[in-house]
Parts: sequence; structure tokens; C-alpha cells
Amino acid sequence: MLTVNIEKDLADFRLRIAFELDNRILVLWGPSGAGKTTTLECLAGLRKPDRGEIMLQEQVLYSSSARLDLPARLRHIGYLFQDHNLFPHMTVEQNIKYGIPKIQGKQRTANHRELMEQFGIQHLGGRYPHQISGGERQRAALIRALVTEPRLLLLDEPFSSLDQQAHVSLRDTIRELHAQWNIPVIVVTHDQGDAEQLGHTVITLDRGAQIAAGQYPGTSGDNPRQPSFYAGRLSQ
Amino acid sequence: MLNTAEIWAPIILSLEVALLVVIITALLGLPLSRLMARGHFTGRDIIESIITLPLVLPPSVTGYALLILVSKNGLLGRWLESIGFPVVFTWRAIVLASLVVAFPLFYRSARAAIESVNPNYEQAARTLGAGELRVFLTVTLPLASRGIIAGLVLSFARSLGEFGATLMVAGNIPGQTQTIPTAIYFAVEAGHDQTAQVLVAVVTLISFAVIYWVNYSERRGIKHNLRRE
Repeated sequence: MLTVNIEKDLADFRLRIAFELDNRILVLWGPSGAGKTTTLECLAGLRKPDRGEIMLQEQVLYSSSARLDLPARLRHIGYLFQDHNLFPHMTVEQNIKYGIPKIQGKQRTANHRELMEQFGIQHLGGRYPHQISGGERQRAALIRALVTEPRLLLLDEPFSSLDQQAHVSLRDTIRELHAQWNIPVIVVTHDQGDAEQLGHTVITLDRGAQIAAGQYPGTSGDNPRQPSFYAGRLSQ
Repeated sequence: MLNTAEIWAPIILSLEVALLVVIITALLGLPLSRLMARGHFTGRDIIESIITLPLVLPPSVTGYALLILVSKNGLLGRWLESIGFPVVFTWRAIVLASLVVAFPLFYRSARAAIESVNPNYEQAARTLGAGELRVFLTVTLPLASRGIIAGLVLSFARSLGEFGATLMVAGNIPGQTQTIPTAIYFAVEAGHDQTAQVLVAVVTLISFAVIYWVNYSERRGIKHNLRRE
């Protein structure tokens, strides 16, 4: 369970966001500049909120009252950036192995080779990021985040640089891995199709304010129906 | 008649000093460049200006400032003398003068290279569990390596050519503190044209090789980066 209740003063407005998320997919939806990426950065520990609390699996990640701000490297949160994800000076396999915890004797649930096979990039391990396609890069970055065994996965516009085919294929991959991993996932997107296809829950952000939030009636998310508040926002 | 000791001694000393300067520059300069490229704190611009000042000051001014600092009755000199580490008019003074003059060249190049690394790569490394040292060594440093190496090479060449500040704090003691540039100056003064010519040829050749290499690798770096993006 992820519990978030934070505020952050940005240049033009104050970002206020509060929600709870169990092991499902939350879509953060809204125009650019609404504070979506800032929200993810606060969750990952890459930026510091001004006030509030973030809790993940009973652990406090951030608390302004307790003056606690756990650094990103200790949060075990997978983060997929919009672009520039893979280290350009490392091969795909070196990239993927970068985050494997070096704890001896620990039972590993995520085998990076199996994941590469599952995601169809097992033959690309020796290539450099500039030698593979955009869709393959995002898959590799996703595997790199997964092998750290994250407790929460953050995806910031993961489809923005992809063509239609790669887009649909990555969307399927995300749903597939969510079913398999059973961790909370937050996806930032401004694409209505993605929001419909992926989101069990949707939060709409506009200039830092949470103007709508709701859950789809079906909890599986396989065939979500669109709640009316959501349709209202999207048709504007 | 060409005196071989008169030629070899300054060449060897200059190369030794330049090598030492490069090592010290890297050890001090890398953490400093990282701090200045990514850190935001008050007084940053002042520190920046002090570091790069020797780049624009007349070398004699830098030399005089160092002399005040490390001469036998200087601010630090008395203490250095008392711990058995005399600096002024020894090879250490050449290293000090060359370091102060060559350091800003490395610093500017390294800081720019580190600044040009997309911070997302560093952020990604942090989310993958890397601490700050690992982020720097495995992500920032390799991605900034071209600029850093270019900076080291430039500071090596600058150190090799240091004349004014060196002369003021180290003097020109043949076999002890005589470097290639000071040897050339005094050879010409004394009318030893042949010695001067050989030393001029050596230092020109080394400098040409260095600047050619820096230009070449920069051009190649641009092509490489375009392909990577």
C-alpha cells in the first residue's frame, strides 16, 4: 500500500496531491506542466516535497513533521524516465545489471536473463542503446528497473517517443508484468487510450490541483468502464 | 658545441613536473569540478573566480603572490621550512607554480564536461540503488571522459610551458630548477643558440602533438555524440 499526501510549491502554483494505492495501476493524467512528473520525482526521492507524508508498505519515505527524506537509492522504487533512460556508454546487458543488489545469498526472484527473454530482447544484450529501437530501449529500461525488485514502479510518459506499434506492444507488456509482479504502478500519460487501457484508478491533475479522482468499477482493469467524471474531463 | 646535460636535464625535469601536476590536478580537480557543476551554494561564483583567476593574470603576478606565500619569511613559508619542506627555489616551487597556472584549464574543461552530462542518467542510477560515489564513477565520469581527458592534456601542456610564475618562485638553477622554458630563455641570453633551438623544437613538437590530439578527439567526440543521441 502506498499512501501519499504531499504539497510542493512550484514556480507558478502549489502542487497538492493525496491518494492511496494498493497493488494496482494508477494513471496520473493531465496537461503538461500540471505537476505529474514532479509528483513522480517526489515519490522516487529525486525531489523533496515541502510538506506532507509518503508511506510505502508501512515504511515512511518522506515526512515533513518527522524531518525524514529517504534518499532515492534506499527507496526501492523503479523509475522509468520519459527519455534518456539507458546509460549510453554501457551495453544493454550492462545497463540491466547495474541495479542488481549485491547482497550475497539473497534469494533472487528476478532473473535478468529470463526477463530479457520474456520481453523479447534476449538477443540485444551486447548492443549499445543507440543501436536498438525506441521500443526496445524502453523494454530494457523497464527490465533494469525490475531487477532491483522495486516495491513501486513509476512510469513517466513511457510511450512518448514510440511509434504506434511499439506503443501498443509496450502497453501490453506493462499490463502483463503488472499481473505478474503485483506491485503498485503509477503511469503518467496524457493519452486517453493509455489511461483507459491501463488505469484501474485515474487522478487528473491540473496546475497542481487534483481536480478529479476515481476508481473504475472493475478491479481487474481488464475491461474498465469509463467513470463519468473522467469522460467529462477528457471531452473538454 | 652542444652540451647534452644542458638539454636533457630541463627536458626530464619539465616532464616530471608536468606529470606530477596532471596527477595532482586530477585528484583535486575532479571532486571540485563535480561540486561546482552540480552544487548550488552561496559563494560559488567567488570560488569559481578565484580558481580561474590565474588564467588571466600575468604569470609574474601569480608568481609574486606565490612568493609572498611560500618564501622563507612568507605566510606559509616559515611553517613549511620548519617542517623540513622548503618550497621556494626548489623543484616543489615549479610544481606549485605550474599547478596554479595549469589547474584552471583543467577545471574549466572538466566542469563543462560534467555539466553537459544529462542529469537524468545520474537520477536513473540513484533510483537503481547507486550511492553518490558510484554515480560519479560509473555514470558521470565515463560520460564526461572526453572533456576531462582533454582538460588533463591541456594542463599537461600548459605546465610544460610555464615560465613566468616558475621563474619567480623557483628561479633558474641549472640541474635543479631549470625547466625547458627557463633553459631556453637563458640559453638565448647566453648566446647558446644551438641549445635553445633543440629545446624549442622539443617543446613545440610536444605542444603540437597535444593540441592536435585534443582537436582531433573533440571532433570525433562530436560525431560520436550525434550518433548516440
